Amino acid sequence: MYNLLFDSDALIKISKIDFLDIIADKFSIVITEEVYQETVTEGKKGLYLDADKIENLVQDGKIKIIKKGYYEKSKKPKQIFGIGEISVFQSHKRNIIIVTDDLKFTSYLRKEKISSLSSAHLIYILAKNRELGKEKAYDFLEKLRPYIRNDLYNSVKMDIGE
Amino acid sequence: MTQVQPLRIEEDILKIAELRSKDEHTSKTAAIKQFLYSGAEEYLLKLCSQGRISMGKASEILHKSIYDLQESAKRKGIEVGITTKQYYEGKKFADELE
Repeated sequence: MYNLLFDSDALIKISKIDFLDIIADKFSIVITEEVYQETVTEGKKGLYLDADKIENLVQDGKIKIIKKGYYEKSKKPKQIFGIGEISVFQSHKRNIIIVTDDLKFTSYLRKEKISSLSSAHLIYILAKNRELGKEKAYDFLEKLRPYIRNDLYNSVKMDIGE
Repeated sequence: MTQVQPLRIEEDILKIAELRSKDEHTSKTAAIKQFLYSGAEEYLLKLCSQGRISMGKASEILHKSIYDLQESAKRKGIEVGITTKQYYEGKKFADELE
């Protein structure tokens, strides 16, 4: 089972499209304290239901939080990012896959030779491995559509196959 | 932190601010600030779309949650997130995973 380290943007999107429970069953999810702050604490202030969903998964032990003490002294990115993204970069280890949908963060990770996945990739992976039926994969992709680029939507749809 | 910034505003724009202040039962100053904030938000979202700033940093600058920012981008029709090129690079990695 792969360890996925989510940034806030990707975690919120996966929750918004009702895909988080499935991902939590298939993968081991970890987040940093800063990502918890951005997704749960800030989300609850705005009365976002997804903040409760994420919090419940944390309480059920399906999302684990990496304590700040484990990464706060690690190397920081050389470009400007938000506190959540910085913490994700700092807490990354070889056996953990970063999940981010952010263009700038993804570009920077590539530059640092760190592979990452996006929320769209997770739909693709489960469809490819037949852990998700094509119809279901399309449903999730359709829900994700307003939050991703249109040409990306078309590419993923094509990759899921007819 | 806030700063005082002297600003010359055209009379017609001020009339729009006045209209908004009446519609939304707020002050003219608050209406001008909302126009300014809305413009700043749109500009930052466009920078996100170009990959010049991250969503996390934009949300910090705007004092807005990432939830709110995602919804603003959706509402304004600004496409953010990874490009198709990045998707295909990630897909190669995804295909290597067992």
